[in-house]
Amino acid sequence: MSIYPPDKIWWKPIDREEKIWLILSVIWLMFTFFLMPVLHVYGKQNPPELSYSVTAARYEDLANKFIQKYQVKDEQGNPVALNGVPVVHPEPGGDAYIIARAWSWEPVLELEKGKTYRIHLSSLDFQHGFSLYPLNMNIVAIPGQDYIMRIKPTSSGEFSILCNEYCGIGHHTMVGKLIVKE
Amino acid sequence: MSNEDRKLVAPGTLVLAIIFLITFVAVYFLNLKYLSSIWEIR
Amino acid sequence: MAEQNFRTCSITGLKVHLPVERLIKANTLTALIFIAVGGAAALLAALTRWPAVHLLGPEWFYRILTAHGFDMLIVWIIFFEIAALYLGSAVLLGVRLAAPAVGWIAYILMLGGAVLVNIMVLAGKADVLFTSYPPLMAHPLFYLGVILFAVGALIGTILFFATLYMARKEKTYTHESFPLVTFGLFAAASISVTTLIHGAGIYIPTLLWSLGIIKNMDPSAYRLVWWGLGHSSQQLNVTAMISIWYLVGALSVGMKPINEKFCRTAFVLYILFINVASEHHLLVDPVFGSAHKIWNTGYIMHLAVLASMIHAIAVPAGIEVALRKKGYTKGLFEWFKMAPWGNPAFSATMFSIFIFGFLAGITGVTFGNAQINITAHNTWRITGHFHATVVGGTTLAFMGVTYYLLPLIFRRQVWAMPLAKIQPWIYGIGVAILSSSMMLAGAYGIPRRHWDIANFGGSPFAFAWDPTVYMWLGVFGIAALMAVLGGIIYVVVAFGTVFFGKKV
Repeated sequence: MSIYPPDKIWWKPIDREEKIWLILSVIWLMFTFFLMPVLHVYGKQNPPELSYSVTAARYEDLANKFIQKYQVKDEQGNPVALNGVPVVHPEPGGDAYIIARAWSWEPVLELEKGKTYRIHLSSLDFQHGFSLYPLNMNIVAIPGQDYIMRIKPTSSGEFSILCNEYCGIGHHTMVGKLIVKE
Repeated sequence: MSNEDRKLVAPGTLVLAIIFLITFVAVYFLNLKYLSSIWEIR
Repeated sequence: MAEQNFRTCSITGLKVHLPVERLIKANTLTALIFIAVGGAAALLAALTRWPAVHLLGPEWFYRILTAHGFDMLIVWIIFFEIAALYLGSAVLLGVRLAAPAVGWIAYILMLGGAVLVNIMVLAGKADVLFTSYPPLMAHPLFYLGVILFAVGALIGTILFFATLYMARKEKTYTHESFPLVTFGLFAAASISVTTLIHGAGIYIPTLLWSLGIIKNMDPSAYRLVWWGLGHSSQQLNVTAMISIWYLVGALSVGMKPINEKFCRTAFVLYILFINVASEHHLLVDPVFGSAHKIWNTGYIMHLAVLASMIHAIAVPAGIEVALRKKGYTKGLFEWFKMAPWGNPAFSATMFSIFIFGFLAGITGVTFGNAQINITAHNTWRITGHFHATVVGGTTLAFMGVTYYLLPLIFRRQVWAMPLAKIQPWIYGIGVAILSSSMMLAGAYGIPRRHWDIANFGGSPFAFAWDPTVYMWLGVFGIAALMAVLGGIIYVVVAFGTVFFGKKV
């Protein structure tokens, strides 16, 4: 039994059953392994791989410059904000910035469907979890790291950003918005 | 009992294990399909 | 040698060193106390996440969640594992424990550390959750408590190795090799050494940071090292769980390993490959390159998964062979039907095997795919997955083996046996549904560690979820009640046995 020492010679060949299972398992695990580098090259969804060190102050500065430059204006020329958060329309193919801070997501990005953007993500204070609803896309925002997500929205509408990395007592109030126009 | 079964020491377990493997493959592919429905990101 | 310090077990024929028996009892009873504390925390947390109840306020929710994570994942499980290590070495090999006094030092450090952590958390000085991610900072005594616990566990583990060495030297067991269960626990203990070294490597600098001695704590570096502790400890729990499967299989149906080479190689694969496979927690992190992430979660992790696939067939096959030997040879599944389902140790083990296989293992490998992880990270899919692994898998297996520890080590007949018989069913079914409902809600994006998905604390950006989510949250609430009930029965039956059980 498993609680008593084995026979003196226990290095015996395995039975047919174990052989079958081992072969099936290895084939399946080879598939799941190779799938990842294949998806990395040919897949349309991959974890972003560009990130740079940045100080919170510099990131905030870059993000604010971006917000000022691309903030949407209404017919009177007044800057548009949603619940006090600037609505910003970045250039398709260009850079956009998202600031994660306790406890808000800024700005409200207004993107165009089918266009690719370099969306920068960083935090000014704690670790935050960027989670886009209802798509369910989840990326980590780390203070001191400018994480660049090259994203192409393939659906339009209004999306919500919630935080899924605990960041203090206001963690659950941290919700933002992202708009994609046709 | 077929010839093959007689050589297997635990045929019931092999059946259960294969059901497990099929479930594994199914769940994996469902998730790959779900993945393809989100935005492009790299 | 004090021969009078031993007794011979009338059931297994094993020689039991009396001082080690006392240590096994102490560690097991303490584990039971902490599963009760962690279980109370579970109930409060679950009743808060169940939107229909939303019991606690935000401050206490996050606090209780911190306690729940630590008391369950670390304290309950590791106290029980230390008891298992003493059993697997001294008792299975019929040798004296190398230095019982050292075992008591380990015990006191673990207990002191656990109590210190709980005090700091409940006093509101460590609202940082189980992962304690910087820049969130807790009171220095929180980190000190974790370190004390880890040091105690490390000492207990070293005592296990010393005892194995002594058994070999004094030739207290026949032939050359340890029993399979001992070998499995040896694998678990080996993993625990690197686990605890990672733990020291991350908690000591973090302690110094909380004292102001170190100025900066890089969040990404912390994540990398912490998960070296965090994931390795899970693999340690898996290895211990599987060893317990073999143990209960042996005691309940006389199971022999179908092939020692097959099973032992699988344990070796665990040791070799799990220690570096922690990057599946960092798949959607900045800093780490794709090649690194994929290699770690793919090549390295999959070799450990291969080991799991081996045990996945070896354990049930061993049970089937043992039952076929008893005469249940009709068709493919007579053995399954006629298995001793009324034996709570056996039923708990079978539930553990099925939950771990179907719910835990499959989702773990799937969510560990670098790309699929984008749809899973920090959602409730992850929480559902790890409740299947450590709760449905490891904890349930430990509950099962307790029903043998009680008569064999505590030497008391299980009290309230009818309750004991249904306990694994209530707990197993409860946890299976709990885990599934969390993963289903999480697939819609329900986040983990979140106090208010329904109203987002009144944020103007609050949005409405797909209503299906509320159905799953309701199922979760009911399943949580069922699981907690199963846990209460376990603790009550165990303590009832210790105090009121008929002496064997």
